[in-house]
Amino acid sequence: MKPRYALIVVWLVAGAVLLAGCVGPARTTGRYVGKATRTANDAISALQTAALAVHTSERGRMLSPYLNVVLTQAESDFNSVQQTFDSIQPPDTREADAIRDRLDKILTDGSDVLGQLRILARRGDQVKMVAQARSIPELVDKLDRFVTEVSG
Amino acid sequence: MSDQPAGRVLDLNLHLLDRQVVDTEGLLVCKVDDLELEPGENGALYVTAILVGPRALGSRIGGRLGRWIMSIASRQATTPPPRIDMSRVRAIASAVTLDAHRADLGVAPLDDWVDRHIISRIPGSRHESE
Amino acid sequence: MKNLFAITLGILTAIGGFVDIGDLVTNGLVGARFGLSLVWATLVGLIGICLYAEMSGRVAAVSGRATFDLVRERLGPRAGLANLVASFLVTGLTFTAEIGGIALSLELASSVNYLLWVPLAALLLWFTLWRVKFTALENGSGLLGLALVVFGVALWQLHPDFGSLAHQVVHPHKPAGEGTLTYFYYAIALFGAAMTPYEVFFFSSGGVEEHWSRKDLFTARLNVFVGFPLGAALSICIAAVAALVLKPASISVDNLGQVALPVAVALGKLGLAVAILGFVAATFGAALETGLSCGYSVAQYFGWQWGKFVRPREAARFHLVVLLSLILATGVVLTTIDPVTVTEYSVVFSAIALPLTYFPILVISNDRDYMGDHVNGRLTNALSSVFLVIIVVAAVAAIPLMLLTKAGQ
Repeated sequence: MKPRYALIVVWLVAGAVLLAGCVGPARTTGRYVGKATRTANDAISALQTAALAVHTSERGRMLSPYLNVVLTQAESDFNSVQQTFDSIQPPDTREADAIRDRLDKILTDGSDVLGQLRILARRGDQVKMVAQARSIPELVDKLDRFVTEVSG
Repeated sequence: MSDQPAGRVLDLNLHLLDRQVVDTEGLLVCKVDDLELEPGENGALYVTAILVGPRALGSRIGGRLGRWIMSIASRQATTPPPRIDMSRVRAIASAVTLDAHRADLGVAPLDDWVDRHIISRIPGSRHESE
Repeated sequence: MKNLFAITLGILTAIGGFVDIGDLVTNGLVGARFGLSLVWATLVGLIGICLYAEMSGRVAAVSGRATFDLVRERLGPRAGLANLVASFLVTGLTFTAEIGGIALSLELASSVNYLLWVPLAALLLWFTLWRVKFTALENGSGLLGLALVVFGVALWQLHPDFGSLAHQVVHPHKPAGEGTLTYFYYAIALFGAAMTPYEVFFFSSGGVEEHWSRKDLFTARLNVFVGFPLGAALSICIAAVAALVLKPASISVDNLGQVALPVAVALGKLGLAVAILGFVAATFGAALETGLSCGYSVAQYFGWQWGKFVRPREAARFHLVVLLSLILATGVVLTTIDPVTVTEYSVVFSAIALPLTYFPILVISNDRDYMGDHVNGRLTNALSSVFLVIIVVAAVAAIPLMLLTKAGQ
């Protein structure tokens, strides 16, 4: 195989890897809605993971080191999803701004809940943790409705 | 006296080049990286030696990469390119078997260097784990 | 009786050794997102690896040489070098993913951050590679990896409608809301996870390490045709429990912890502990295999003495390559790059490298010079050729799909 072709293949592969990881700006409202929807779905996933973990713990089926890791990971996933979304430049329309505000509000609430869960789990406070987790279904519901309404 | 075992006619590509070279105990020595050919009395070419090492391999890889390998190897070399005389070859089958011991051949200066300076300094290197 | 024990051991080892971090993550991810509609890709991959592992094991038993050993002889030094570079890079990437996997699994067991486990894992790997007997290494990690059977138990405990599960498998239906391109991207990922290149090179090198001869052909085949399918069944169980527990909750898998969650839900503390043990064993075993494979491929190309069946001093360059690969892979993990991301890329790149690694095996196992009477039969050749086409299609489609779907988003 000629070295030149090999080099081309290497560049193609490197380019593919880099492009696959990119998050660009959203130039149209449609694209922005797409990114917002994806963010909301990722947020739902993290919240549901935490909820399932806490519920399983309530049933006495969890090991605490594992629980800690799962909740910590859910929180950090959630936060990074929120950070990524906040860093995207929204298109200059009122609609985009409204979407951003609405999603951000729910995300901030979610971030608080997950942070609390992580702390309570590490403290071993099962009762408070379960109580805190009860606010997750409502948040998930808000995110679900957001996705439905925003995607039209 | 012919330097080839029994004066066989071989398709070098098919039967000799890039074959594993094995010593008399069955230990792996090297690959046939290249061959030294010399014309005999009747004008036919005889294989006189197996050439080993990056200089030999580089010339067969060819192209810019091969030349680059050869130039680095030549600059670093302190000994002439390792060669195994064909008189030491006992059999040519799926591997090329020699009638010498690997330690007597001196074709793997890098291996000896790595052994002396790195591997032998790690505890437990004298014992086989099998 | 002793024979039966040896055979059973081999099969058990093959089952436990089939699942590595790539299978854990990819099957969990796909199950949670696509249900069982991509199981066909795992099954196709299974047939492929059975075919090619049998060939490479046969090559080892009959010729006493490992397959990569023979790649340069049959393809020449240039093509052989291209093959070596591609195989080494993909195996090295997989090695990195496995080391990350060990650390993540230990984190799940201890809640101590995975980065702190990396140096310890690397040291333990090095010690095992250096001092532990090859057979002990293989059997130990394979048997402990059997702990992953807990996923089958969890599936049973969840009392699924097996009929509807079977229907999903046999009538694959891309879920609504998922793109066709993404669907096929993950098919390729599952394919790459089932057919990782290092497995066949390791299988044949391992055969030489264990001094296989013609007598061992039957055992080798049993390992492949019983062990690997059971191993694939484990992979499918991992996908199935994810489909049953995570998918309805809209949970998408992006870390290793989520893969074990269904087991906790179904079986509780004991099941969870066993699952985590399985994770540690499977990733550790796979790390040993990929580490050795890095050494095997380089040493076998250059004709250096290789293997654990000789004293390290007799195979100095081989051990140096293994050590350097370990250091490099560990270094990459310590850059805090997400191990799950590395894993996801490693399975796709495995799929891309497949034609390079599988084509020589087909050529060599047809060569009477090495194989004598044990060359491929017509059926084997027919099936393998079909698979070669599938492999090439998957390899060629992988990069465009990666670009178009942004690595499966």
